[in-house]
Amino acid sequence: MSTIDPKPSPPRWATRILQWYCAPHLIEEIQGDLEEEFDFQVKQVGITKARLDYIRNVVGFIRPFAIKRKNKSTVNNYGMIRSYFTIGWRNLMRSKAYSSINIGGLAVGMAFAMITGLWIQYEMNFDSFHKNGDRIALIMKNTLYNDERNTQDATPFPLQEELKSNYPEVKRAAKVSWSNEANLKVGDNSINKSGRYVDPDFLEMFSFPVIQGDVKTALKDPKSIVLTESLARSLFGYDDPLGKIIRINNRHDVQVTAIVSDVPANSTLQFDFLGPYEFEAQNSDFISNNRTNWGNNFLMNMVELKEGVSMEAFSEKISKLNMEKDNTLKNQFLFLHPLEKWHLNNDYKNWVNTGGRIEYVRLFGIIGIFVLLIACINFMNLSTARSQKRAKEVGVRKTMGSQRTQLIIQFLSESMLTTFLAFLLALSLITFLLPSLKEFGFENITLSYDNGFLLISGLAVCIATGLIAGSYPALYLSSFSPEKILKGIFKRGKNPVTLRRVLVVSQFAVSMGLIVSTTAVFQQVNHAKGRSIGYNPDNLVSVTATRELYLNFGALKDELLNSGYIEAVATTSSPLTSVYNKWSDFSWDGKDPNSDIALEALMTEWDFEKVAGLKFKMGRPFSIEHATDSNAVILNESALKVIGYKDPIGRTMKSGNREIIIVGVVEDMVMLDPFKPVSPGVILFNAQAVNSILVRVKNETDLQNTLAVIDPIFKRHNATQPFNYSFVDDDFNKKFALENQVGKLAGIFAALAVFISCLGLFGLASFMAEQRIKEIGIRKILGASVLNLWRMLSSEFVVLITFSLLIASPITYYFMERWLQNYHYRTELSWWVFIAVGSGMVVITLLTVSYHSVTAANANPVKSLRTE
Amino acid sequence: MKKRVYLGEFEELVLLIVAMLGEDAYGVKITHEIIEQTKRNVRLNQVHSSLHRLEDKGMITSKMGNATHERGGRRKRIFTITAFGQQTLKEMKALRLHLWALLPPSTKIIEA
Repeated sequence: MSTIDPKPSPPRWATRILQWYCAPHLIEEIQGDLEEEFDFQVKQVGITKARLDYIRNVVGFIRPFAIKRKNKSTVNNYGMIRSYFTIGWRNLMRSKAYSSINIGGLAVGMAFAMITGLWIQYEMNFDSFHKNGDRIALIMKNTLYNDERNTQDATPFPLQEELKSNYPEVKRAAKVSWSNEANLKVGDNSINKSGRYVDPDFLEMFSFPVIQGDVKTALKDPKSIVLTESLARSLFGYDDPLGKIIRINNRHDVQVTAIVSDVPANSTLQFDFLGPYEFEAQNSDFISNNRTNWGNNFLMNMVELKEGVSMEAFSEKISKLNMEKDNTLKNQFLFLHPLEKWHLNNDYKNWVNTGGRIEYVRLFGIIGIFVLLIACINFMNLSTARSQKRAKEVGVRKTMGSQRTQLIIQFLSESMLTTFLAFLLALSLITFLLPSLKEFGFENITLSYDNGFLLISGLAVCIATGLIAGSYPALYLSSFSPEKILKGIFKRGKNPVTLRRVLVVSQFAVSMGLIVSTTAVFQQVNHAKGRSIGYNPDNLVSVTATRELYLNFGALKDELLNSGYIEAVATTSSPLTSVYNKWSDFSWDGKDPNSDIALEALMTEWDFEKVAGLKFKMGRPFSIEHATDSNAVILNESALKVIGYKDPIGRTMKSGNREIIIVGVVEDMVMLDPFKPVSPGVILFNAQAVNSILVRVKNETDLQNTLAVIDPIFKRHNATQPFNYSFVDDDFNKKFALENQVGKLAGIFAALAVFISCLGLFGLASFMAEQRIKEIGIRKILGASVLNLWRMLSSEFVVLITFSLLIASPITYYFMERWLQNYHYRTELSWWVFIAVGSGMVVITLLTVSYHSVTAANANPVKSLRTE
Repeated sequence: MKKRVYLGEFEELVLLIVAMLGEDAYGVKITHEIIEQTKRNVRLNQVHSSLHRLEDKGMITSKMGNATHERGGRRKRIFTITAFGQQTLKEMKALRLHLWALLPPSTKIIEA
């Protein structure tokens, strides 16, 4: 058998490389030359060497002249591009209603997404102005009381000294008090402001800018004070405040040693003035008695670590410090809570950081993105629907010589122009809307045009939306051959319709989710508001007690009661909406000696039950007729459960070494978090522990009138200090501030989402009705009734909405259940909410769509069929 | 005034060969001719690149030839020298001769 030797050929892969890089107009001659040379070399030196030579040649041709593509045209495109914009503009103007729906919807979505972005930016930048922020931490304490793992920010007095002198890791440390209100007086000028008492290191640790005075020495002298700029201005006007004397609480004279700029709103630590902690310690018997006590936690300790020290390692190191210093203490573990977490990650549950505000930042971030998404979807939906009308334009342009790339550029630049208009509109909307959003927690947010991040992301959204919205006409329509389009053979593919259905479904699913979530938030708030709180906060005025009021209380009480407007007056150790005291030195028969149970303590005197409107379960209130009532105690129900007495009235327990007699049991009073169970607490008789004076106004009297009457009475007994009061029901409602804010915001977003979705639906329905106008005409002629047609045109949308409800419900249910898990006292998600929201959506959809379907169905078929 | 165009030594060589080969001047042929005439080791890509530059400078023009059975049926690009190319070659030759004439007699003797 004879075989034919195949003609020797150059390596194929090398040829492929050549074909890949070589410019198309040169490939023929170069490849030809190479092959001829190869054949020549085969004869000369043999096939192997010829192949090597071929490869060498292929590589040798990798040179600019061989790679560079021939420039097809160097025509100036300027005029063409200008014409694109003209045509784009005319298209917008031709259908004004559609354009304004399209641009307006996108602008509203963008505006709200950007406002949310601004808010998130603001929240994330909280406390970021401290230069040493990454090394500053608050010392917190994990405790185990009543078998409950709690985390507190209060730590003992001697901790700061110990950390600063015996731990080389610590650079600076300061005791910091909670915000205290104090009366500051210069001459006749008297103001109540809140301030903090801090150790001298404070000003160096934190970066509150000091305008006047020396940072290092400003708080050294106990009789010094640091003011904020605006406080200094209101006390001293334009005089130089440095070195001036201020009288605090009408008792102590202190000297102004420094002025700091006003504390920015995005600082967790807020104050109008700073005093040395030593000043507070010298003037409070309580504090000076606890200078060396490791068991009494009543202040905050903050540290700045040296560079390179790990917070985790140091937390570990000091964890058991309290117990080492005082071996009677049990189950207290110190740790560092870094500054970066103060604002957003401030919640601890079971000793573990569970986030906090960050949840809301994330939530609104997601909602913002969703609203933006809905708006963008809408825009794309409407744009693609409209662009089908322009198929003929594409045909004509192609016949006139338009290349596909030119058409792509045209449609993309046109949709980009539209999104850019929306962006400009969104910017002006934000400027216009921000002032009216102040009450929703946006008071500190401003739009500055040097906010590069925001503008760039806004533009990015613009471009992305424009590109996607424009891509349908740009890529799809431009791919058809002109003769098909112009002959009318061009058939709309199924794809855009399916896509549009998916978009509508996802839009409405998001809207529905938002509405259900909003409803759930308000249900939860109402649920907590509706719970029995154990006292009556209405018509109850809480006055901050001053020293003078305390001293003159007897006369004050008599005068108030004699005024005729007041039902009862009593002093308390804390306002009804907070708890100042929680003690663990109570004991009772049968108490487990190893348990460490703390009871909240409220100290008050006669008439408290009338003032607060207590609800007694057993026993009686304190009574002036019982001489022994100074040693009486009233328990709340939770305390009774903890103590476990079967028949408590008349039995005794101990507070420290003092024996106290249980005279009554009241319903639990919700003084703290309304979403949590009430802690065990006791009401003790003590007329000396006075921080508030509670005044119950008679039911039928007018509150404003009463205030006008009691104001002078208070003034008379409190000549030097202002009269500071609040209504207990207002204070109580403030506990819902966060939830209310979230609910309102979610409500706004939900309304917005529905609004934008409906805008989209409206546009879409009008377009679909227009498309089927001939079909409707024919159907009418053949006898279809208006109702039939209406059903035909609307039913598709109803099916879509129902479908989106089915998708949204389980997802929303899952997330809202998870949100509710944050609350101890929580409502149930009820199925009827979903049903109600769902039917509401269907009704809204029908209303939106019906306008067009009814118009189309009513139109005279003669007119619609004659056009062409 | 239009900027004067200069030729490199290799370009001059290629141009001369193109002029010499006439209707048969294409990549491989030119390369082989150069190797044969000068015994230099020249590669195809160098010649192609040079031809490109010459065409840019307007010394030669090119057109695609007819398809043949060689080279997998691919056409050749045939180069022809332009009047401008011829003019340039003549000027260069004249310049050389002029400069030779100006050499001192001793040098001429060595050369001879």
